[in-house]
Amino acid sequence: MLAALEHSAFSQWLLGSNSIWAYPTVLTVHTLGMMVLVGAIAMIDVRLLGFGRGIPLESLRTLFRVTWIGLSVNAVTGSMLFAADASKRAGSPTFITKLVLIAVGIATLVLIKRDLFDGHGDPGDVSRRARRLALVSILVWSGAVTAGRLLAYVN
Amino acid sequence: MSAIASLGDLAHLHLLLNHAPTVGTTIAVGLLVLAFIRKSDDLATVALELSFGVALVTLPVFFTGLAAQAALADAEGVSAGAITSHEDAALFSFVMMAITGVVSWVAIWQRRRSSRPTRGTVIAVFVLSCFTLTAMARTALLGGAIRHPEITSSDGAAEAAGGWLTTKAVAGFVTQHEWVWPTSEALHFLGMSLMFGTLLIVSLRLMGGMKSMSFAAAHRLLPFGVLGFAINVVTGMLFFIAAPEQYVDNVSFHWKVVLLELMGACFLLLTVYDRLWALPAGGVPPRMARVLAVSTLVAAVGVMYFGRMLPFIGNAF
Amino acid sequence: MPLPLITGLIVLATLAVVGVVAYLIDQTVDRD
Repeated sequence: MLAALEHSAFSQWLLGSNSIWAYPTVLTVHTLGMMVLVGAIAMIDVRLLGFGRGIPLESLRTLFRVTWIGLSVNAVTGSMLFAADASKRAGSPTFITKLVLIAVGIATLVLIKRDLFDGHGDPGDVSRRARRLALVSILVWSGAVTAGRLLAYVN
Repeated sequence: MSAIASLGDLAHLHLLLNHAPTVGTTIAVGLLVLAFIRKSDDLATVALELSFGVALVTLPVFFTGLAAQAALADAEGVSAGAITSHEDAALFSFVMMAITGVVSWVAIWQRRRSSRPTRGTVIAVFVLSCFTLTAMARTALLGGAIRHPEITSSDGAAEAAGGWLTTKAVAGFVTQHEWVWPTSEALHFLGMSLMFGTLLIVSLRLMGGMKSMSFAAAHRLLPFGVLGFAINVVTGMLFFIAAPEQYVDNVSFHWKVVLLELMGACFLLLTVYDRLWALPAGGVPPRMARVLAVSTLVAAVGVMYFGRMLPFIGNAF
Repeated sequence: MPLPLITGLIVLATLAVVGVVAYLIDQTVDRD
C-alpha cells in the first residue's frame, strides 16, 4: 500500500517535476506552517511561564487559533511529503518519533487550552498545572522540530 | 532566477560596505561620549540605535567579504595569506560587533520600557564598542594590506591573525564533527520559530488582532525575538563559514540577506517607535502600524523562503 | 554517542540558556 502511495501519480509529480512549484513549494509551505505553529505555541508557553504578564490570557485565544491553522497546513503538506517517500518514512524510527511527539504536543496544547478557558469564560491566573504543561509543550515541540530536521541524516 | 549580483559586484559592494563597521562604530562611540558630556538622553538613544544599525549592516559586510575572496581567487598581486589574515580578523571583529549590537538593542529596549535609569547597559555598550572598534580597525588595516602595496610593510609578510577563532578552525570544527551540521539545522529552525513567534504576536496586535492586549505588553516579549535571531546568526555563520561556496554567489542567499536587513530594520522600529508603544489595550492601530506589521512578517517569511530555496533556486548542495 | 542524542542534548542546553538569558533581561525592566 505504501508502495502504491509512493508510485501514485501525485507522488511522481511531486518528486519528478522539475518545476519549482512541486516538491520545493510543498517543503517551503511545510516549513512556513511549522514556523507559524511552533512560533505561536512558543508565545503561549512563555506567557504561561511568567513572561509578559501584561498580556491578558483572554487574548491568547487568537494564538490558539493560529496554531490550529499551522497544524492544518502541516497536516496537508506533511501528508504530501509522506506520500512521496512513504515506504522509507513509515519504517523510520525518527519519523515515528516525530509523529508521536506531534501527537503529544497537540494533546498538551488541548490540555492547556482547557485549563485556561474551561468554560468559566474569563481565565484567572495561570495555574501550576498550566505552567507545567507549558514547559512540557516547549520540550515536546522542540523535539518534534529536531526530529524533523534529523530525518535527512538518520534512518 | 537570474543573479542580482556577480561575485565582482559583491567585491565592490564589500569595499563600499566595509566602511560601515569602522566609521559607524567610531561615530556611535563619539555620540555616546557627547551624550555623557552633554547629559543628553536623545543623543544616547541615537548612538544606541546607530550601534544596532551598524551591527546589522556588518552581516552583509562579512558575506560580501567572502564573496570578494572568491572573486579574487586567481588575481595577480593578491596574497592569499593576506586575505586569510584579514578574514580571520574580520571573523573576530564580527563576533565583537554582533555582541555589541545585541547589547545595544537590549539597552534600547530597556530605555523604551523603564523609567529606571539603565546606565549599566549603556556603559556596557560603550565598553564593547571600544573593543569592537579596535578589532575593526585591525581588520581594516589587514584588509588594506591585500591590495594597497603602499601601506604593506616592507617585509611583505602578512601579520598572522592567530588565535583560536579562525575561519579555518570554524570550518574544521563543522566538517570534522558530523553532529555539528544537523544540530545547527535543528537549532536554526527553532531559532527561526522563536523569532517568528515574537514577530507574530506584536504584528497581530498591530494588524488589529488581540485587541485586549496593549502593544507594550507584547513588547515585553521582544527579547525572545533577539534570542531566536542570535541563535540563527550563530548557526548561520557555521553554515556559511564551513561552505561559503554554496552561498556567496547563490542568488537565493543574496535575497535572504537583503530581507534579513529589512527584517532587522522593522524590528528596530517595533522596539522604539512612539506611536506603537503608545497603543493601549482596545486601541485602534494607526495605518503605519499595519504596514510595518505586514512588512515585518513578509520579510521574515521571505528570509525563511529564500533559506529553504537555497538548493533549488541557487547552486547550493 | 548517537547523533539524535547529541543533537537532543545540545538543543536542551540551548533552550535552557535561552530561558535563563530571557529571564535575566526581563528582570531589568519594571514590573508591568
